[in-house]
Amino acid sequence: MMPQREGSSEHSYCGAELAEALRTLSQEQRSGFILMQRLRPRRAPAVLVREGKVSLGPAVSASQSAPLMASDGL
Amino acid sequence: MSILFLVARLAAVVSDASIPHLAPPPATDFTSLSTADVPPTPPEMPSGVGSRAHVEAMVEDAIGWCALNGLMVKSAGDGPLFTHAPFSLLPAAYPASALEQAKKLAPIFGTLLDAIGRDVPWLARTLKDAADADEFTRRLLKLCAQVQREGATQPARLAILRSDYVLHQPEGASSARLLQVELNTIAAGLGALSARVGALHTALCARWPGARQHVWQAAGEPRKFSLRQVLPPSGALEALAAALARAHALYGVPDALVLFVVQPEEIYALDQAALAQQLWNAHGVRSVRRTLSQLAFEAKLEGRQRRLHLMPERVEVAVVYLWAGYAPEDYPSARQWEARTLLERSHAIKCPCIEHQLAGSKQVQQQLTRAGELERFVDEEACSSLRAVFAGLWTLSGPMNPTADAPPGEHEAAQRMRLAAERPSEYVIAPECLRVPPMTSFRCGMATRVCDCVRVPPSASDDLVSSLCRASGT
Repeated sequence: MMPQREGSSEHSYCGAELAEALRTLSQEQRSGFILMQRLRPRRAPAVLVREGKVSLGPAVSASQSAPLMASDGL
Repeated sequence: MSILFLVARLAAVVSDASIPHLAPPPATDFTSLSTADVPPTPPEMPSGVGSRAHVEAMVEDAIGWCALNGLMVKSAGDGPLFTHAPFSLLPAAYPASALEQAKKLAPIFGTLLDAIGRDVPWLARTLKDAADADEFTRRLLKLCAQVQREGATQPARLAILRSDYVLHQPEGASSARLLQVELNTIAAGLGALSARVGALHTALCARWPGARQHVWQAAGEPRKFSLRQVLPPSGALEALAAALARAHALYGVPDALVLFVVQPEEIYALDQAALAQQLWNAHGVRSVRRTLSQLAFEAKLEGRQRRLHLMPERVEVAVVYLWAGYAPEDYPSARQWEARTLLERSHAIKCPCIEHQLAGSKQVQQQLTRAGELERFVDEEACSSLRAVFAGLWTLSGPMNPTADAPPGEHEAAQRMRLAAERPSEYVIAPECLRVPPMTSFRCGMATRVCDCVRVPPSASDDLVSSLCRASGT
């Protein structure tokens, strides 16, 4: 679960910033970026605990599965 | 006489004082669930959980459980060595169908990765733009080419992957869709710690009526339901250790080690320690931890097969498990690159090999969303299962207004850029070389992953067993 935040990283843009970036970046600068569909994860109220402190609020769940695979390379 | 009397009195005192503690644990069968003692839940709390004071008492109990059961991470800065891992107090409801879907996809992603890892020319083509722009990708590709030229002496490969998903539900949509965020092919950690979060939730439900009521309500208030069914135990730790042990057995030298290549400051050292312990307890396989800097001095290749040995003991390494080496910061000097190159050229089974590491990059993910690309690697049925969870990813290379005779791909990209400019809230742009994968993404949102109820599909180890059996011809 993660507290809902805008954008996925400090280097990412969405919304007005994204429109601005598309307008101002040169073709060369732009090719250093990738365009992604914005994910809107379902939220649910949660109790999150970090370093003994409790925070309440809507959170999203991320599920993970771990495929394990080995091959002989042939 | 007097001694006997004293004993009897003591026994009476002990049994009186211990009644609340010796009472059997609450039934985990929901038919006997009593919610009479759960105080009313204020609106800001998750449903059914009870008052703020009730939750705070539960949190204190949960933190104690973390210490008792090793759900801990290294503390930052000065202070105690370890602190409890960030966690969610209660499990979140997740549709069983979505989890089933993710489980079914697990072996398909394994097959896909295996096929991509064998098509090095395709990888090099796909990563060309990224390599032009990014020194790190360039070096990894160069290492891949070097290993290919020389020819591997070890055909077996081990992949421990982690596929991350969210339930995508835009406002107004009646149902949610499982979408993949990324496939981590290197240093996919936290199997042990996240399994323990599941165990924490189970323990809290047995002890706290508020936790039980929350889970019962999330499950749709059924008349009969067992806790084990609602919170199935994760087999992640066992499956990960079994995978490494299988690779170790395939290598065929019983005394050889599993080498964990780690970062010098590792916040999740206990996640790795739990795996090392399981590897030893369940399989009798020894493991050691070394940083790339240490390996620059200690690792040596011996013989025509380039068998990997650690000095000064000269002990052989069967499996190299990389928990580091996915980001430029892991290679502060040429020494670390030399160590990585040596590992890659060695006869040890790599997890992952350089080809699999490269196959986990964003550009590969994006290329696979393009028509016809996925079909190169897997059959039609697998393609449609995979496409169902692919989120939209598009290139931003190429001109905004391509000429009429430009290739169709350029027109397609330009059209998408115009769409994004018109509806910017529906899109995100991110650096192409952003190495969000493995641990970095945990760092930014650590609470996050640790507190998920991660369930490794129980079938994962079976898949591994079957493919390894094929590999070893048994």
